[in-house]
Amino acid sequence: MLIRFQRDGGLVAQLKLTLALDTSTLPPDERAEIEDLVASSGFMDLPPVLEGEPEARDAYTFTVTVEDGDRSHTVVVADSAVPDSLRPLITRLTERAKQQRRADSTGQSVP
Amino acid sequence: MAAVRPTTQRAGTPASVGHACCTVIPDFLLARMANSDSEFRRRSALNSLLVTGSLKTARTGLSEATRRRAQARRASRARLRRAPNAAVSCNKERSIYTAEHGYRKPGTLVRKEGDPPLSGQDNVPVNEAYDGLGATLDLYCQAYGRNSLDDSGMELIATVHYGNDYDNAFWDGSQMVFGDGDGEVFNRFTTPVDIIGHELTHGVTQFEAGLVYFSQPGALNESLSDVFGSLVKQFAATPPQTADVADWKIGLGLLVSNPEFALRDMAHPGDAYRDDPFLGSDPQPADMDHYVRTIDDNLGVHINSGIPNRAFYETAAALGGYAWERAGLIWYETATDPKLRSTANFAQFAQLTLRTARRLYGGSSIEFAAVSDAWKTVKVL
Repeated sequence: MLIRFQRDGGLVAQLKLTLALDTSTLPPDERAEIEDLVASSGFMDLPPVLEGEPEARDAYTFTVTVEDGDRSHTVVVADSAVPDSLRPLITRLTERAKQQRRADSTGQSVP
Repeated sequence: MAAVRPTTQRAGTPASVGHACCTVIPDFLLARMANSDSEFRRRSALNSLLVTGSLKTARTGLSEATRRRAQARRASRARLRRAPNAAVSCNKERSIYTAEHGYRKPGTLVRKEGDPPLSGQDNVPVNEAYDGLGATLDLYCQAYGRNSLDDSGMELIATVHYGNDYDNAFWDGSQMVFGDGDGEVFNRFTTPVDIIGHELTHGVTQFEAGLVYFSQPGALNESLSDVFGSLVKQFAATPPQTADVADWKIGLGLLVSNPEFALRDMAHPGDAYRDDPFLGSDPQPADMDHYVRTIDDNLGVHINSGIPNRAFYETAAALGGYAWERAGLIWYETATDPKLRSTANFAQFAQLTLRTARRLYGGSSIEFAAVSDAWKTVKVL
């Protein structure tokens, strides 16, 4: 399973987080954890766009693409519109992207 | 720090981006684009414009509710003008909620207007939010006679402890939301009072010009939030600060890497932070020659805001004294002028500040000259 994740927005420029993850390269327990989060979010059945409040300012938006076999789906979601079922996946991908950012800033690789 | 500079593009007019953005993209095309990292990044940046509703607002203009409120406001101001000696009375009604590290808004009410400060480390953001909301209401009321964000005395709601290690603060269209910071890039977001003033001013702009949230009008929207956020800090300081004493920095102390860093520097855009391990260096330009064209950040709303920010600083510095009095009044009267369109660019905003300065102080006044010189310094006029 291939997952692409990006966080845009925020009250200062340069807060963008990006992540490209091939779950087949992860340790088995982490692979299972993330693929379970995708499944429990009902990701493939989510609408492609989930808008937030039209007057929101400085808020985050997330774009997530999941490619699984011949299936591919992209969801664009405002922070305020993240469904409860999707929040754990967003939180996990945010953590993972921050791990990547930390590794990039110190020149090390993510375990 | 080339790696952290926003991606730039040659042609990026709001109109063309808007068209691309609002077309329903077939799934197979999305899938194909997603195969390329750079395409995914570009598409995601444009998607963020789509879901924040900026373009929808741009297409439909002000919502009906907002229009009605603006109408009521203008009527009430007309009444005030008829009775110039009437004391301005402003409603102060603050309610602070906690999301208890979840994502429900507003959450659980923990402190309402008139309640004493809450004790305990966990309640520090509750009290900071309460005080910051109060400081913002005070500036708008005492300096400009504005009765809360909508000028009709609306209740102010803030949610603290939003999410886990949440690294942002935002205005959601009807209330404030504060994270506790992730402790890695950001400290607690309720600490700097100018950040609270910044977010609440997004509410004022929403009820007034409704500046759309991308490109130059979006950068003006951001700049107004920085201007009045900074003025809240100067007004609330003990003793209150004159323009030459104020630091003109936004969010000083928020960045974990260095307590001297801020998010933005109005006097010296581009100098707020340097070589931060996660954010890199401040990308703000100080004049139009260095205007940044980018698809990120809603076409650079937090980047190019440095240009009008500096124009305000130059005006305030030239006039001296308390910045909220003359420079602030010119900016406030401009921001609330029905002639300010939601799609205004820098030059149109600048022309309107000149018009306001002439109306308030006369065309041969030092105030008019200060505004005119400031926009020339940043090469907008």
